[in-house]
Amino acid sequence: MKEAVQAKHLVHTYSPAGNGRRSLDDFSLTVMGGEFLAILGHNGCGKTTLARHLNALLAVQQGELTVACLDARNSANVWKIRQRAGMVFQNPDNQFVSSVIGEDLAFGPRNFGVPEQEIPRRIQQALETVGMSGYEKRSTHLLSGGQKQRIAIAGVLAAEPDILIFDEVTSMLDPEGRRDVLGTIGRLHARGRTVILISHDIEEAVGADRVALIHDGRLLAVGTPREMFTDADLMRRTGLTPPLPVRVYNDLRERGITLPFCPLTMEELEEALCR
Amino acid sequence: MNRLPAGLYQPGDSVVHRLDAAAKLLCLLLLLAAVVNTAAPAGYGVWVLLLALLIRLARIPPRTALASAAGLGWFFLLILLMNLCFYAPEQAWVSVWIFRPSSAGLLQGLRVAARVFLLLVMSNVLMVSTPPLALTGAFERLLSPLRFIGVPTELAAMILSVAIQFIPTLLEETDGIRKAQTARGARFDSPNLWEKGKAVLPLLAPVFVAAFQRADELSLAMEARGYRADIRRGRKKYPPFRACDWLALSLCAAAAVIFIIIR
Repeated sequence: MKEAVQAKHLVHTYSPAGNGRRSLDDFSLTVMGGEFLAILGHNGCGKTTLARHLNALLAVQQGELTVACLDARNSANVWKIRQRAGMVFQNPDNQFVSSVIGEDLAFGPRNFGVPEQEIPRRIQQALETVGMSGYEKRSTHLLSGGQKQRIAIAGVLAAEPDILIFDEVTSMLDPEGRRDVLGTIGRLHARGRTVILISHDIEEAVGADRVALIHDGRLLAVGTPREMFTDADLMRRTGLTPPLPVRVYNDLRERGITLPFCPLTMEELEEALCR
Repeated sequence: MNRLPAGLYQPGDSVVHRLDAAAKLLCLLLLLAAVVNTAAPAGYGVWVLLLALLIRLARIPPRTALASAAGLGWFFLLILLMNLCFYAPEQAWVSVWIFRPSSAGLLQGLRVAARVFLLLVMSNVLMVSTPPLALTGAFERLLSPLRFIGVPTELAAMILSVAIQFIPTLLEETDGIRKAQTARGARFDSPNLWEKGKAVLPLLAPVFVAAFQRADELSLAMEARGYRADIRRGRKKYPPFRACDWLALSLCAAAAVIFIIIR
């Protein structure tokens, strides 16, 4: 499978003189097409800066970046990249351009020059994918947080991107809304989309194919969730707390009880304890 | 907010609701032109009757229709007093310092107050009976000839529609901040105007900051979704006016002509 994203030695700083703190520092990472990659790190570690590069919202200052086989350094590619790589933001309320859901979903396709007669089909399909068919005529103001965020996802889907970038999309939601949105993201990945999930919540990354850990603008490590979360030293260096089942496993081991394998989810923990 | 702000759209299926938004907007302009040109006191009597008829046709509860003028009692009184005391100083009954009240002034005051009242209530009927999106569409449609002299009408309509879309969000946010400040002792409900004013000022700062943050994030999200202000999107096609739209327009035009001729 082809690479969806390829970053080589990216450097980015927000201070104009270029001598300030680097938000991205010699950052290299490859994301394969169809992969579910979670990017984890503390607040201010450079996750959002990276996300904005992937969508060409920030221009490459130093290094190389290709998104969907398009060179992000070429400014002629900006609009093509935004069409191929859709981005969902943290606060659903700040993403709507219209209070009528159907009108809002038409915004992206219209911008990308999709023919008017094709737009209703796209809207329907996007709503169906996020499980909110029949909401075209409703108002965004009357939805719950989770529903709003799913509509924001549908708004991005209507442009039919191959790559989906989720930048802290659950951090303003209640537990139910969070479950809803994460379920939707999982389904999108199952249907073949490349998913890049940016988060500071480690539990959200458990279902990912791979996890990338960022610290101070640098890529610390990348690997399967199991490899990453069970490496106590790595977890400490990133400043992240491992998922609860891993902590239980570690605590038990310190007290001399070794479970047959290290569980990542509550279900696995149950299974390990029952053995 | 314990009461809904005036002008909030209320879905309905009345004749007025079904009219084309652009036609309604034109009707409002014609009616306002007629109202402003009405001079005879009897004319205002006719207007009040017509307004009652309009509200009845739109099947809007009178309270909702009048909400835009409610609470402006002080403003009407001010209009009345200013006109009474300063409009026709040469015909004054008495002269006390700079105040020269006259009967012509009283009449003019009543006239202006009536105009403002009619203007507020008529606009409110339009707002309450038309979805915001249809209204911005109507603005865009009516302004679209200005494209030819280089006015960015699409951009103006976009700004308007986004602004309208954020009103409920900002109201909610204001309410949240207000409650938080009340909890810490701010006195919004004080009958003392000075106290009330002192409480409102610290409310404005966080509301503005939050609004700017939202605007910032929204502009990023719009860019991410491919928005470009400089690009021409396909021209929107508007449905033509139907018979009922033309009828409403001709009635309002007739009213405007009659009132302007008779004065």
